Amino acid sequence: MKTLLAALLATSAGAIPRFAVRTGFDCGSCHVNPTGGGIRTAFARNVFARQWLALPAGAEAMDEAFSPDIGRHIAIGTDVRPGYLWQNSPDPAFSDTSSLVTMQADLYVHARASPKLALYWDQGVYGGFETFVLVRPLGEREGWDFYVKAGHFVIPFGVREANHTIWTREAVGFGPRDRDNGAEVGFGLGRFSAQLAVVNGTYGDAFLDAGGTRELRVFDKAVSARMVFRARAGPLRVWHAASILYNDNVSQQSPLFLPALFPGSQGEAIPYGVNEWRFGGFLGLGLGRLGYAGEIVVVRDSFAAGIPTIVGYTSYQELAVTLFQGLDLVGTYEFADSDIEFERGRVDRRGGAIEFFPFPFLELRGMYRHSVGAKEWLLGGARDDVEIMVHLFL
Amino acid sequence: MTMSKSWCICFFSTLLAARAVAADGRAVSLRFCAPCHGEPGNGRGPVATELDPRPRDFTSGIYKFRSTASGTLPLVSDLRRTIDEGLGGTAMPGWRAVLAPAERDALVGYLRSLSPRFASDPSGEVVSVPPAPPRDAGTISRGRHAYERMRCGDCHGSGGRGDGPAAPTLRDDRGLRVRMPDLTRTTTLRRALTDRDIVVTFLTGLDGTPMPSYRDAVSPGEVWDLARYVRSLGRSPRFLERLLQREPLTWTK
Repeated sequence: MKTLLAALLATSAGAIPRFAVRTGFDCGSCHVNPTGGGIRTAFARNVFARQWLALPAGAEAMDEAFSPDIGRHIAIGTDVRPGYLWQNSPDPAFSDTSSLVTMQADLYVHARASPKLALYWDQGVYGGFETFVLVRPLGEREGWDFYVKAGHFVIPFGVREANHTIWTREAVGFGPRDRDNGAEVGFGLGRFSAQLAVVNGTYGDAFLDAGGTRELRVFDKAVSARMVFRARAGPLRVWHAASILYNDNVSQQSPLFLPALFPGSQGEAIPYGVNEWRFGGFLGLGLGRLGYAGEIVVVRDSFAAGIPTIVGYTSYQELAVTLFQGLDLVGTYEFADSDIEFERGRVDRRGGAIEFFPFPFLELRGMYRHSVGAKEWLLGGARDDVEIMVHLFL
Repeated sequence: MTMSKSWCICFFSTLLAARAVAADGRAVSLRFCAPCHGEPGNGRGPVATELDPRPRDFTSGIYKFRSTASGTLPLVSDLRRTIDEGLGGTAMPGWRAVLAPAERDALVGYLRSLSPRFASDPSGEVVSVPPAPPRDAGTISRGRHAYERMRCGDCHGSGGRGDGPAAPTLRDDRGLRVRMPDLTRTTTLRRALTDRDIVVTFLTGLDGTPMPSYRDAVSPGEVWDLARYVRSLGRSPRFLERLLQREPLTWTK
C-alpha cells in the first residue's frame, strides 16, 4: 500500500511557475529545459536563488557554495523531496494514511557541448526519466531563441508545476510518468514564445505509437502547441499562456473522466480509439510580493467504442504572498467537473501552504488540503491531506 | 581497490581539477557571469533582457562604480568590490560566498582584458574624498538646500522617490531607459552602504548614465550634508508599500 502511495506521490521534475510570474522571467531563464522543470541554469543557482528566493541571511552565511558544474561543459543537479504525508477520509473506501515518503529523487545531467548543442538527462527514482538532445542552430542569443528538442520529454502543454498532483496536471494526463517520445520546436522573441511538439501520444509507452496494443499504426500521433506571452505594466507582471493538444487514437482515459465513465472505478482501461482534445489557458499576475496563478484545462474525448463524447474541465488557482524574502504563504483552490452535462463528478479542493527557503538550495514546506466532492473520483473525494516536506535542490 | 572506489576517486579528482582550472578568469566568467553578461562579456547574455537594469557591457570599459574621476577607468579594487559585494536593487549578487579569493582576482583580471581601454588608457585619478565633518543640527537642512540648488529633484523627484519630471526621459549610453532609484528605499540603491559611498557617487558620477560628477559643483562640507540628507530620506515602508513594492525580493547589505 505504501509503495503504491509513494508511487502515486512521485513528483515530476517540475518548476514553480509562481516565481516566473512574480519576476516576469521566462521558464528558460532558470531551467535548462526551455519549457521549464528539471536542472537549473547557472543564473538560477547563482543569481535567482540568492537574490530573489532564499532568506538573505542564509545566502550570505554560506562560506562557500557548492557548485554542481563539472568543468565548463557538464553540470549535475538534483531534486530530492523526502516528506511525511497524512491522509484522512470519512469515506470507508480510503484508509487513513500516515507515511514517510520520498516524493521525488531525480538526478540531472546537463552536458553542454557548445552553445548550439546540449544533452539533457533526468533520471527519477521511480523509473521516470526525461532525456533529450537540445539543438540551438543559431546559438544562445539575447532576446530571442530558436531550438529543436528531440527525445523523451514532457509534452509542452500548460504550465509545468512541481506538484504533479494538482488537477490541471495529472488529472488531465500530464503526470510524472506521462513523458513521451517525439520532437519539439521552440521559438522565442522578446516576451513571446511558442512551442510545437509531435509525440507518439502514448504518454511514455515504449512501444512506439501502438497505444499498448503493440500494433503499429500509420500516424496515431499527438500534436501539442503552446504559446506564452509575458507583459509588464509598471510594477505589474502578467503571464499569459494558451495550449492545445490533439491525440489521435489513444487508449488512455483521462483520470478526470473516471467518475463519468465508470462510477466507482479505480482506473480500468477503456477500449483503444480515443481521440483526445485538451485546451489550456493560464494567467499569472505578479505585483510586488503578491502572485496569482490560475490555469484552466478543458478536456474533450470522443470514443470509438460507443461511449458518448465527454467534455469536462478542471482549474487550479493559487494566490501567494511573500512575507519576507525566503518565506511564502500560498493559498490554493481547485475545481474539477468530469462531465459538464451532468451533476455528477464535481469536486473541489482548497489548500494552504507555507514555504520556507532558508538557504539557496533548501526548501521546507508544510501543506494542508481539503477535498470535497465525488467520492468515487480517484484523485478527489472527501479527504484531508497534510504534507510536510524537505526539498533539496541543486 | 573496488570498482566503486575507483569511480569515486575518478569523480572527485575531476571535480578538484575542474575547480583548479576555474582559477582562470575566463573559465570563471563563462560559468558564473555569462548567463547575464554574455560569453563575450558584452552584457548580452541569454537572460539579459529579463533584467532591469541590464547587465554591464565589459567590452566598453565604462563602469558606473569607481573611486576614480568621471570618464576614467576603475581601479582593480573598485571592480573587486563590486564582485565581492554585488549591487543593491539589481540582480548582481555578491560573489564572496561563491567564489574563492583567487577566483575573484582572476575574474577582475579577465574583465580588464575585455576592453582595450585598460591597455591604452592611463589609470584613473582617484577622487579625493574630503574628511567627514561632524554632524550638527543644520546638516540635514543644508543638505536639502543643496539638493534643491543642484536640481537633483528634476530626476530624483522632490521627495527622492525617483519620480522627477525628467525621470521618464532618461536613457543610458546604450539607449536603455534608466530606472531611477527610490532614495527613500535604501535597498534599491546600487551602492549606498555608508554615507561615504554616497559622497563618492556625487564626486565620481555614474559613467554611462545621466548621473554626472558634482566634483566641481559642491564644497567639501556640502557634499557630506547632501549625502546625509539623502540618507535621511530612507524610511521604513508602510505595510501596503511593503506588500506591493516593486523590487521586494532583492536585498543589499
